[in-house]
Amino acid sequence: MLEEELHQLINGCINQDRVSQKMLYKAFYGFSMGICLRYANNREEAAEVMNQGFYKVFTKIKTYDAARPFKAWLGRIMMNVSIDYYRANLKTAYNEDLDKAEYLTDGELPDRKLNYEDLLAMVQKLPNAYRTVFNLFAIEGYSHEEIGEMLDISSGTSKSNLHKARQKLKQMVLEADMPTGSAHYNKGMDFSSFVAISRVDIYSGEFNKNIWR
Amino acid sequence: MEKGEEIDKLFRKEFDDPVNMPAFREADWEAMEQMLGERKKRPVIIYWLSAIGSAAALILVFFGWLFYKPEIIKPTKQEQVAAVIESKRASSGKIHYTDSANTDNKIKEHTSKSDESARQEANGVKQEVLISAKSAGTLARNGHVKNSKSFFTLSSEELRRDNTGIELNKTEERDGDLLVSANVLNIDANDAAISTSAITTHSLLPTTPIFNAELSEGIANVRKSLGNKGNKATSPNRPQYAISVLASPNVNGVNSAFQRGKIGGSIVGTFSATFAQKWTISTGIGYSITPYLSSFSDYHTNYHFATSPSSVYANCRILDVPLNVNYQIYANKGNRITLGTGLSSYFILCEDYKFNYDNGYAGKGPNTFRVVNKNKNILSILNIDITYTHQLNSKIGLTVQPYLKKPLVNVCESQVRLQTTGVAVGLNWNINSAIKPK
Repeated sequence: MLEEELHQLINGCINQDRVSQKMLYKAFYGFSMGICLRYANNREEAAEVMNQGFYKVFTKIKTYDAARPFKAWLGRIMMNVSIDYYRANLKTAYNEDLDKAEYLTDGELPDRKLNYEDLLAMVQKLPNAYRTVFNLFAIEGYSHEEIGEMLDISSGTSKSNLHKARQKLKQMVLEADMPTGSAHYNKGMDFSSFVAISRVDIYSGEFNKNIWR
Repeated sequence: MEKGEEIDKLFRKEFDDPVNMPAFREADWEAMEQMLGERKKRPVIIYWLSAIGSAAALILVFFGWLFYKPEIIKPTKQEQVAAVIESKRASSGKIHYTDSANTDNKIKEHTSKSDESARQEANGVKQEVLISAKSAGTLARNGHVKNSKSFFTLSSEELRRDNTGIELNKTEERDGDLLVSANVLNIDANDAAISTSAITTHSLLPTTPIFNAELSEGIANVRKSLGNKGNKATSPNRPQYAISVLASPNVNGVNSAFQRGKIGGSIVGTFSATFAQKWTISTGIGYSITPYLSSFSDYHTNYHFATSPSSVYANCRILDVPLNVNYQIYANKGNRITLGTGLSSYFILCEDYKFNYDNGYAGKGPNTFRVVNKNKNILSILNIDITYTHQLNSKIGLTVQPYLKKPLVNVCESQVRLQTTGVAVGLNWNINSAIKPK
């Protein structure tokens, strides 16, 4: 999209012109959905989060500084909305299975190229806490200190979550490369978590107490 | 390569690749549109509810005050003259106040209450005295009252002594007779008012059946003496209230360009109050469908069109709240013509725009544009009208009203001078005929 066209669309959105809003939405749908999908559990949740992000864009577009890249501003909004959406789950997920993961040794990644859908499904399989840190560090490029501030966790926790996220992803990638596995991870593979959770662990968990009563 | 970076790179490469961007889904936009509509409408609804509620409360308070305010009855000159004549006749009738003990005691008892309660009743007593004076005067004139137990035995001195606030101005004694001057005879020409006063008078008078009969007869004479003014409940000072419902086709154009005007329609309900038979103040609420066509040069927007449309077709739904004043210029046998002017407030509920492009560009630029509940113009539209009313009966009238609405400011999202003209036809209903006088 040309800069001039983008400027026109933004002006239209400032005037709450629905046509301009749709055109802007359509133009940045793929970019925005791409971000939200990485943070979400599935496509439906991603769409919901993305629309919340666009709602902020349309209602706060007057505050957009035209001197700065629009795409970066939009991406930041989508990221923040995604984090906020799952913020309540970030620490919960961390507490639930942090100590239950079995670390895998580093090995060579398979040569076979995994497609986007496979990799996205793997990321979406991660617990929220791991997935968010992995996205912020590995994809967005934030430091652990910055991530700690954004998520209200320590940098040590951020490092730990990143490490475990990588371990899990590596495991999933290796399993996807096994002969029994399908070429498409999210189609044929029946992924079983490498997190060993005994019945005793579940029974002793605070959350599950109510279930087993 | 640092430990873990390899897998990061694998994911980053795929996620950052524009080829992998998800395709647009119309369903997601529909959800987005719904979200935009819902969240925007909510405060608007709250605003409307509060605005309508406040307006309704104000109207109720205003009309409540109008209907229930204490009426100060002022005698007309004609009534005063009649009263003077009758009082003189009464004086010549030689009313004797020979047996005043009962009524005096009654009044004394009545006025010996606490000052506060006495003051509260003062006006009522005064009115009663006045009515009695009038009645007795008439009775005397007709020769029906001789040495009766009249309420006139109450002297003004006693009233003043009791400090009840009752004062009979300009009373004088002549040969032991009390004459009540015309100045204190305040009787409404309204028949019903007289009857009410007569009843209260009766409660204070000695309970002599003969006297009551005489009093009734006297009241009847009073009615005759004041002249039969018909059964009309209204006095000249009382405003005439009416409700009207008018519907009209209208023609709408921008900057007086009615030759390119589009036909719309409107319906309006008004409430009006007519004062002194000449001036009418009216307000109400109307809903109009207002389509118009404008050249793109008249269309104002901050949006920069890549290619300018050749013209813009718009269709607006407008809530119109007029506040007008009319002056009667002609009235004859139930036909009435008034000239009116005033200001309207526009609350624009919905605006649909369609952009027309020259050949070759149609479909490439924005084609439509909708604005909901965004624009309003308070008292910014000048109304001019001529209203002809033909009274079908005492309650219902037929109204024909050519009108012009000329905005004093730019209106709508497109910021145009949108003018509207039309001829409204409808019915009006006279409310006063349904309200019983006090």
